[in-house]
Amino acid sequence: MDIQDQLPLTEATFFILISLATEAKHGYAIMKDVEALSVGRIVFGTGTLYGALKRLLDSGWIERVDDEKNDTGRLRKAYRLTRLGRRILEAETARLKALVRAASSRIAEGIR
Amino acid sequence: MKILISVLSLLYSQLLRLYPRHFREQFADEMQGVFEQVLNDSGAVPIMFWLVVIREFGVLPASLLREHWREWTRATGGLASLTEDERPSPWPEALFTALPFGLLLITYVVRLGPFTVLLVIGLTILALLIAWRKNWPRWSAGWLALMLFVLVSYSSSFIYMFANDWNTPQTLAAHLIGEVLLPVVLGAGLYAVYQRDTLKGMLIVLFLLEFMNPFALEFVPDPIRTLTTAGTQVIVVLTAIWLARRGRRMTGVGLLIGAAVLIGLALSITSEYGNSFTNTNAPEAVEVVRSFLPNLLDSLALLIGPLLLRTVWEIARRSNRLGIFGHRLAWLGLILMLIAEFGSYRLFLPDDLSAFRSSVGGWFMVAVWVGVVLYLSGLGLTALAARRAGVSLSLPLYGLLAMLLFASPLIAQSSRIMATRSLPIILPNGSSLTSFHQLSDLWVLVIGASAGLLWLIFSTGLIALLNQRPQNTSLTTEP
Repeated sequence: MDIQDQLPLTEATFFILISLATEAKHGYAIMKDVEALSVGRIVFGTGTLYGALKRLLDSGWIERVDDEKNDTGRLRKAYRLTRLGRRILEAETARLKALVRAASSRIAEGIR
Repeated sequence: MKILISVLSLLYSQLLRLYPRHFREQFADEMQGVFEQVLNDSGAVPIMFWLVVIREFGVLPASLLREHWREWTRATGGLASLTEDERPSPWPEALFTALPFGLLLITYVVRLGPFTVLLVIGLTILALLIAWRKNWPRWSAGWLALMLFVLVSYSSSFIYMFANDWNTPQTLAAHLIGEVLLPVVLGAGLYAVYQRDTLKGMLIVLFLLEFMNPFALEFVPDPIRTLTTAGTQVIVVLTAIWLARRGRRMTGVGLLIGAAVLIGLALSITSEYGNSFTNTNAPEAVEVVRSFLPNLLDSLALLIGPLLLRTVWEIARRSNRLGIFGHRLAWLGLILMLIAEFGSYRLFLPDDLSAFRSSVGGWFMVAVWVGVVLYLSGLGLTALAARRAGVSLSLPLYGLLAMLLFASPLIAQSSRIMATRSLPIILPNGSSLTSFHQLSDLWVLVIGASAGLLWLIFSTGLIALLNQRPQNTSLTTEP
C-alpha cells in the first residue's frame, strides 16, 4: 500500500493519531487529549469518536491492547498506534512541515 | 443529578442498540462507559452538563446513519464476499427463497381480499425482520423482492392518481417520480445488494420479469390472462429454486436470460392473439418476434446492467481512493444521463407535454452531455487508479466495458426507439429515423435486435473475463 495515497488525513484522524503517538489510551482519554491538543476546537461526541476508531482499526492504523476494568466494573479497552499508523502519522507530519516551510519562505520573501 | 444521569444512561444504552450488530458488539459497552464518564465529569456545571447531553445525543443520528451505511457497503471487506456467495443452497433454503414468488403466484390465481393482502404484507415484514436479525441470509432475497413488488405496485398507483390530465406540471412531476426517481431508488437498492452478494441481487431482479411487457395482457380475456401470468410466475418460482440450489453466478446469468426469454415469448404470443384466441387470429412468427425482442432487450439491460457495474466496482475497490472516487463519479454521470434522457424522451413525443418543449428542452440536452462527460471521466479515473495500483486489468477489455455501460441506457430504450421510429434527442439530426422509414419493419427490427444481442454477448463474455480473480488485490483502506 502506498502511504502517500492515504494523505492528506482529516484533522480528526490526525489528532487521534497524534494522541496515540506517545502511549496507548482508552476512548475517554483520547477524547480529552484531542480536545486539549486542538485547544478545544475538536470535541468528539462518543458516537463520532468510536466511528473514527473503528475505521482506524479496520485500516490497521491502530490496534486494541490490554483490557482492564474501570470503577464500574466495565471492560475498558485501550488503543495504540501500529507501525503502519506511525508511518502514516510521520508521513502526514512531513507533508504538513513541507507546506509550512513553503508558505513561510514565501511570506518571508513578501515581507522583504 | 444521579437519577438524571441514570435515566440518560438508560436512554443512551437503548439508542446504542440501533447501531449495526457488528459495531454494537465491538463498541457498545465501551461507548456506554465513556458516555457515563463524560456526563459525570460535566455534572458540576449545569450549563456544561446540558451542552454535553445535547452534543452526545445530537451526534447520534448522523453516527448511526454513517455506521449503517458503512456496514451496508462493507463489500470492501475483501474478496471473501465473492467466494462466499457461490455455494449451493440446501433444499429448505432454496424453497424458502422461492416461497415469496409462490405467494405472488397465489395472488394471481385467487382473487384475494384486503385481509389476505395484509396477511401477506405482514408475513413479508416478519420475514424481513428475522432476516435482519440473521444478517440477511440468502433466503431474504426472495422476501425483499416481494416487498419491492408491493412497494412498486402500490406507490406507482398512488403517484398516478395525481396525473389525470396531460400537459400539466403535476403530470410531469408524477412521471418524473414514477418513472425516474422510483426506478433510480430501486436501482440503487438493487445495486447495493449486488455489491454485497450477486446471487441475492439476481434473485431480487427476478421480480422485475413480471413487468417485462406491462401492456401485453391489457386486452386479453381474463382466463387467458390468469393462465399466462400464473405460467410466468411458475417459471419465476422454478428459476429462483434452481438459482439458489446451484448457487453459482454464471449459472445464474444463464438462468435469468433463459427465464426472460421464456416469459417474454409467452407474453408476446398472448398479446399478439389479443382478445380473440382462435386459429384464424393466430399471430405470425414475425409479429411475435417484433413484440418480443424489444422487451427482451429492456429486461436484459435490467438484468445484466447491475452485473457490469458490479464489475467496475470490483476493479475500483482493488485500486485506491481515486478508483472509488472514479466509480462514484461514473455513477453520478449515469444517473444524470438517465434522468435527462428521460426528459428528452418525454420532450420529443409529439402529443406528450408539448407545453414544456420549447422552454426546457435545451437544459435536458446540456444535462445529458454533462452526464456523459462525468461518466466517461469517472471510468477513466478508475482505469488510471487500477493501473497505478497494479491491478491486473486489460485496458481494451475495460474500454469495451465502458462503452457497453455507456450503451445500456440506449439499449434499455430500444423498444421505444423501434416502436416510435425515433432516436433520442441527444443523437444527431433530432428525433426521427427518417432514412429508416424507407426500410421494412423487419429490417428495423433485425438491426435493433442485432445491436442488442451483440451487446448481450459482449456483456456476458466480459463479466466472465473480468471476474476472473486477479492475483494482485491491494485492497483499499479508507479511514
